[in-house]
Amino acid sequence: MISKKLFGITDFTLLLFVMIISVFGLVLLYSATNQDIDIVIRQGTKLSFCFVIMLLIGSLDSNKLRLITPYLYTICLLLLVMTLFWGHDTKGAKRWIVFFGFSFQVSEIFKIIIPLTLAWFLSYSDYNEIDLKKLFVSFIIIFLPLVFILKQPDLGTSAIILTCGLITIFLAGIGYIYMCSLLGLFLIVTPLMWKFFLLPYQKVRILTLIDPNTDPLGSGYHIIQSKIAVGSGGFFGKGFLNGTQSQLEFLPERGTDFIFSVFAEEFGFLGVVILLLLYLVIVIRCLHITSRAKNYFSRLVSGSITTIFILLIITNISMTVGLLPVVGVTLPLLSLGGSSLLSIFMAFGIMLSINRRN
Amino acid sequence: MNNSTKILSRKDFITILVVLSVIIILWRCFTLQYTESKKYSGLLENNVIKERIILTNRGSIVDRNNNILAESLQMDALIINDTEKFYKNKNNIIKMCNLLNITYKSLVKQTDGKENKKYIRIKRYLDSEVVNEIKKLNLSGLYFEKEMQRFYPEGEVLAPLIGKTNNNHEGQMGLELSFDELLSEENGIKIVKQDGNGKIVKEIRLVKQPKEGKNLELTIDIRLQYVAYRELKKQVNKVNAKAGSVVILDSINGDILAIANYPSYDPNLPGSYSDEKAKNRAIIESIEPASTIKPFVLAAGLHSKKISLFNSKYDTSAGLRVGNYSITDWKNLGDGLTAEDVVVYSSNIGSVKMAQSFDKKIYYNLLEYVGIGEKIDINFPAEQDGQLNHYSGWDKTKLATHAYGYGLKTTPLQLAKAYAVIANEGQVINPRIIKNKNFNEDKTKKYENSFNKVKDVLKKVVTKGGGRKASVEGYSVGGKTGTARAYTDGNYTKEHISIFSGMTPIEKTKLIIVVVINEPRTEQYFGSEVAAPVFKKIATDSLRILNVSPDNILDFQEKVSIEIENSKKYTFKNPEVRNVF
Repeated sequence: MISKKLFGITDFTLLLFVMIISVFGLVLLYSATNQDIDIVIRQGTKLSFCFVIMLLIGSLDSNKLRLITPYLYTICLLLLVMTLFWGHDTKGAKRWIVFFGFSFQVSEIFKIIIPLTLAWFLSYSDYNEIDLKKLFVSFIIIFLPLVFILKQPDLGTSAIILTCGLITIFLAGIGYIYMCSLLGLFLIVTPLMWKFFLLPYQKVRILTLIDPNTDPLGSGYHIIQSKIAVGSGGFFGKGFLNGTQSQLEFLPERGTDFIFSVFAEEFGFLGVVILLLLYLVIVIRCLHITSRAKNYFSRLVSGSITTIFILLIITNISMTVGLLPVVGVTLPLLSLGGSSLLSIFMAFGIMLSINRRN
Repeated sequence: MNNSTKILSRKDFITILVVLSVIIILWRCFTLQYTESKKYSGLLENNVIKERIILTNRGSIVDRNNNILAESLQMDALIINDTEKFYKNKNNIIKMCNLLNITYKSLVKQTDGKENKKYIRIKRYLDSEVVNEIKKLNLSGLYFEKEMQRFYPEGEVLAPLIGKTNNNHEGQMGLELSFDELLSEENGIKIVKQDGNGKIVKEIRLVKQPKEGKNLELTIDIRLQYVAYRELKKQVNKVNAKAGSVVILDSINGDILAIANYPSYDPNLPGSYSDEKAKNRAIIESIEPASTIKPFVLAAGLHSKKISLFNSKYDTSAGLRVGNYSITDWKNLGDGLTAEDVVVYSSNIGSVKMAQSFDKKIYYNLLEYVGIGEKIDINFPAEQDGQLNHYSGWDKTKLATHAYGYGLKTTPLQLAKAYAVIANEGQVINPRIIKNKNFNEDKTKKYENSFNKVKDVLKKVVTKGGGRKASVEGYSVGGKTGTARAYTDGNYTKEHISIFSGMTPIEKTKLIIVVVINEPRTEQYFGSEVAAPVFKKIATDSLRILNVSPDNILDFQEKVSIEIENSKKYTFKNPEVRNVF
């Protein structure tokens, strides 16, 4: 047990299933990228790197984790500012900075950093009741990075990060009076934001998000193609590398947003059930860790991470089967992309670290 | 503990939410993948199995020596079908913009403004070199669509005759329109399996074989056409005229060797087109032939036997009144003009007096015989008939005007045909634009003796009359000048139309050349001054190009000896130069 704990392997089942899904993700990626082995190798390299990071974080004591949290927050905030100045420019948006040939999206990490920092802050004082002052500071913690991310501009990631923060505040036990007044504030602020802050193209984005039919050849087209992929997959699927929609490139964003459609077309309903079961094992392990967490900080962090993990999966799948409009949410552990992979593995590293005390 | 219970209770709340969501997702996947699976498989088929058009060539248009005048080539259009994918590599996109000669800004404007993001046509008619360069840039989200483009290598030289096709590759004007059925291709259809980028993965079956359009072989000789166009353009610009046209006709078989019009446009440059520039005046504009009709008055007179070339004398000094009109000459030509002189010095009064001396029916029949007022029917859009009213309607005045070329109309092409009848001494040839088509072997000759004499008279017009500026060194030339009053919207204007209609060589005539300059705006507007010199230049070059042997060596020698005489007047200081002569 001691040696296991040394390397951060505090929950073998969790680790095993995370690896099963992510290695399978590489196999699926091979199909989704039209058998482009280069992309798979690159993703594999990133995966190994993320795995090491996870074990490193997992080997930390959760108290130490709590101590370094404000520094992590500050470092990431600085990186975010750097992105604004030295960021890689793609179609007018600066979202990436390049490290050793690997481009990296700092905003993705905030999905984890925000719950972590909020938990650090909320568990700081002697009493755990959330009052107006704490709420105010919490919102400053959330909105500080959001300002820079909105400036990139990246509305989608901002919305996800805001949601992650709200989840943590919700789990922290915010009173229903505050919840209602927040809701009220949201209803007042949104129209004002709409009028004064949003750029015209962002408005169009939001409108198509609400009603995809306004853009049938844009995101509407994506949803139709995705539904065709999933539906034509049938009960048993068409088999690995045989998905017509993905192999013939009708499916958009096959490697990232719509990797689930590739999977569903090639492995059918049976495969979908199995995949959900695999995810379920991970979720159960996470809930187990949460329920056994020893202190308020650990409980809040692990609870938030688990909820976010679940929400990402549900949102992504709902999006690909046409239950939700297309919002750029990737499928954890399966989607291509180093930044989201890193944030997810950091999350599991934190879970392992919290489990260390149990 | 208070807090932990709170977290737990919220955890329960979330758990319920999660379980519900998972049930909904599973139910959704079940409906998609089991209950409605067939429907989506059908939709997939619609995606993948498509009908494709197989492009094929429209027929080419070639000249008599197989030089290409119009041809279709497969080009590529650049289509962007996925803007998000496309905009990933800005550096290479800028390189692409440079290859396409467009700016990055205009590209972004083009893609952002489009409703249909799956099909944005950035640029049409790219040649394969540019396409290959762009393909090397490895950009995604774009593809190339094959399309046909019509090329006109001779551009403005032939545009009013050849015409052009429209954007759908169908004949729109000129010969492209009138021979559209022959030239038109029939595209084929095939069923293919295609991928999401429109790329063909597999060809499943052929539905319809493509059929290429047939080639159109013209009688045009591009070398002569070029000469005619060049000289016409030069002269129209020099005399500041509104327009001009030239017809070169092979008098032996009726082949139209050149039809030049100026102003013209370049069918390869859509911006250069205008209705006025596209007009083929040689075929679609009827003009009054003015003095160029006089040889036919003479021919009819000779045929009636009422007139003889040298014994009929005419007094033109006193002028002439017919009805309310007074007829004048360009200068007082005096008394005692022979019938030949009337044509050689182009006397209106003499011509009217001639026409009055014999039956108008004979004149009418002759004009009808040579084709005045009768459509030639070379199959050109809006080809004109010209105009010849029946002689029964000719009163004194009308007979008079017909005698000096007014009240009847002819296109420059018809005038060329009429002069070919003179050249062939009474044999009618039908001008044709399509090579080897309906060659009329009818060798019947009418009015042979009369035309034979008239031909000699036309030669004199060039040697001593108004056509002197049309003479060609080494060759005998016959022809007649004409200067008509321009006529617009039912009224004569102050402007003129200068005409020269001629033939060369005289004995075995090969070429009939008609030059028409519309509304020259210089002091000199007579056909003898404006049109005849153009004839000379075109004839000189054309005869050389066609290797017609000179028939007028005598003239040539005479000229050389005169030059020698002239040179003797100068004292040569260098004896070596003298030895040359």
